Amino acid sequence: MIEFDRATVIYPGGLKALKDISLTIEDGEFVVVVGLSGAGKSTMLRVINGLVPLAEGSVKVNGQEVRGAAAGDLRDIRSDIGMIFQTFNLVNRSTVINNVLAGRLSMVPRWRSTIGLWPKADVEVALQSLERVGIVDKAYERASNLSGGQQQRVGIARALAQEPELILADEPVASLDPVTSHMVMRDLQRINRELGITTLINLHFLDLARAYGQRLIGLRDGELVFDGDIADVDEDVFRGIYGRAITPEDLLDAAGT
Amino acid sequence: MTGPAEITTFEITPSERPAPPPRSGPFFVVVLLIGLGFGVGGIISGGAGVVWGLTGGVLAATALRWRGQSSHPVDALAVVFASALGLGWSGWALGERGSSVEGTTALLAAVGWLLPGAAIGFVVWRHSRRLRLASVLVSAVGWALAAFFVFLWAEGLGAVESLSRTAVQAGEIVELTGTFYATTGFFIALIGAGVTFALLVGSPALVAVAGSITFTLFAASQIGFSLIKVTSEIDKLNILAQEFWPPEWTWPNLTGQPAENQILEPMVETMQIAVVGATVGCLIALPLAFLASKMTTFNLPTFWGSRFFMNVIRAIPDLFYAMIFVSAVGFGSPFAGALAMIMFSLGIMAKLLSETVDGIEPGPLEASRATGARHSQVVQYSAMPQVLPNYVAYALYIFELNIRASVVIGIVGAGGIGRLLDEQRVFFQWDRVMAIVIVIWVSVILIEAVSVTVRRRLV
Ligand SMILES: Nc1ncnc2c1ncn2[C@@H]1O[C@H](COP(=O)(O)OP(=O)(O)OP(=O)(O)O)[C@@H](O)[C@H]1O
Ligand SMILES: [Mg+2]
Repeated sequence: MIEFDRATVIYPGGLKALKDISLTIEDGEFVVVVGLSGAGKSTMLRVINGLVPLAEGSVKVNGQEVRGAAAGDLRDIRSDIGMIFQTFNLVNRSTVINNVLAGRLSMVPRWRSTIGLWPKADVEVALQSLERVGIVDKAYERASNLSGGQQQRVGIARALAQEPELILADEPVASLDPVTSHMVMRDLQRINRELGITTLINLHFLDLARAYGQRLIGLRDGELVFDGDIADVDEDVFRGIYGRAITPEDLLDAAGT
Repeated sequence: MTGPAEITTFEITPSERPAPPPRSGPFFVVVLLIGLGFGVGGIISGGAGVVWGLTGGVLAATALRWRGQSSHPVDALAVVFASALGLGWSGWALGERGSSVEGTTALLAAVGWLLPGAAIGFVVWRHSRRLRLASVLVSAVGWALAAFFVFLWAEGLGAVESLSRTAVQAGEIVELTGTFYATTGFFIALIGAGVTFALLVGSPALVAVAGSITFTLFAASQIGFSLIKVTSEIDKLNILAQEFWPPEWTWPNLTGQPAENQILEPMVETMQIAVVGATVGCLIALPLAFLASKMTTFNLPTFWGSRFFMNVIRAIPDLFYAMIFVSAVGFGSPFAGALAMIMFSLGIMAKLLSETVDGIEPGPLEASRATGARHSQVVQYSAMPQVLPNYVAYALYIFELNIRASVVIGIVGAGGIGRLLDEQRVFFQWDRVMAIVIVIWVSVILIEAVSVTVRRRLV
């Protein structure tokens, strides 16, 4: 469970990127966050795993306060949260399996990760994570040799290798083509349904949000302007979030074809 | 394809697992650690044969891996140990000999050289049993020849000793110092021309050549270089040539006893100084470089502290380090030279590497930080792989620099061949100086050739 309580973020320079956000996300939910560029979507995800500090209010993950958590506690919180990035953020020179094993760094003794002597069980978890996204045959290839879609799957596998309770995905399909986007979204949806991992996704395209999301959160200038079932999203709600009517640019399949 | 397709059940398909490739990481760690250990041990005990054996063994093990023959730690150990043992034995046999070398001693020394060959042969054979007879023969003949030359060399050493030259030849004192420097400069220029030619053949930009010629002409006019002067003093050069040629390879030492390996031993010492300096310096530089980059440092005080430390180290010239350590450890001590070279290597590597770390992609760092990894793990798994090829290339380059620098610091008493060069120079023993310079020249060129080839492969 994630609880936002009057959460506010102020970036150095004084910009208020998140204003007084209060909401609760239950275990197992599949939540999509939408909003214009600069609305604070990434910021909202990053306060959950403490990559961005709160200025005021509080964010709790499973009852544990993220704000002001000691370094060790913060690592514990993070180890249960998988994160997926728009630009994949893989180490290109390393092998796929080593990238996925990075998801298990917080769970092995430090001397083992230092000399690269991974316990068999952890390697097995990494290989299973790759199997879940269907690219286990690439395990020992260099990450840079993979296609964009495959690289994002490595990113997902890295998150899965953490055996997380929560997955945060920051525009996971923004650098992929429409067909691959759907495949990756389906992977994420399956993971949510089959493994019951709570999932929070930032999305740019509204049709993707409609097709895969259950609950939609709309942000505008750091404020919460919509929070409800995705079926209730109509033209008015859209105007509330984007300040204008829907255009083809807001739809992946219209923009992509 | 529009919208989501039907949700298929999400089960793990028991697909074919790829076999993990040979693990190279631990392999290299094992080989390098052994090499380092023995290298330091060899320097402390003065056992040059062991050090050479190890160096050769590590190189051979690396080559085997490179050629895909083997990356098994046991094979590496076999090759490294056999080489160290064989060459160590060879050195011991020569060292133990009495007043003259007998056939048996020379034979022992030669047999020592067959050991590494046998070990490499064993490893290759273990992994690919269906070898071509021809390649087996070629390799066997190669090692046999090496052993034979060692035999001849050992016999030759004995012959030189039996000459028993007792008199120290009085050096003719001629006013030649200036011309000596001119000739040395001329040699360096020849080397430079050779390098330029090599580069040209390798087809890099003509611009670089034109640029360096222009710069050289400019610099030459600035330092008063004059062709007329050179031609008018041509007869001086003539004398010089007589003084320098032929090189004198051996000479009796000060007590009048015949000496052995006068040039080679200090040259080996110089190389050992360079190896230890580069290895230890580059190892210490690794954590320092990460601390001195905003990308991977702990916090601001650490960042500024390590920056400051790094800059201070780099600002002190190597000659000054050598003087400090010589006065601390003792005149003529190679240990002082190694310490100076450590500081020299540390300064360069920390600077080069931390600037490389500044330029790495931050995304992977954030990704592993987000998994809850510790800072050191983040650095190791997300930053290190990004700079590793650069690190190795820099290390090789620094080793090259070290060879030359450790010749120079020998002059102020930090051990190695520089000291010998200086000793002979002040007594105007130009023929001996010539021999020393030739040895230095050949060594530097050989090492650079190897290093350049390896670096090309890396980056
Ligand atoms: N590290 C930072 N320092 C200062 N300001 C920042 C920082 N990161 C984000 N901001 C600002 O905070 C606001 C919200 O940024 P955020 O990245 O959360 O937006 P977003 O909704 O994810 O946008 P996009 O769709 O473009 O990714 C923006 O105005 C941005 O310029
Ligand atoms: Mg964003």
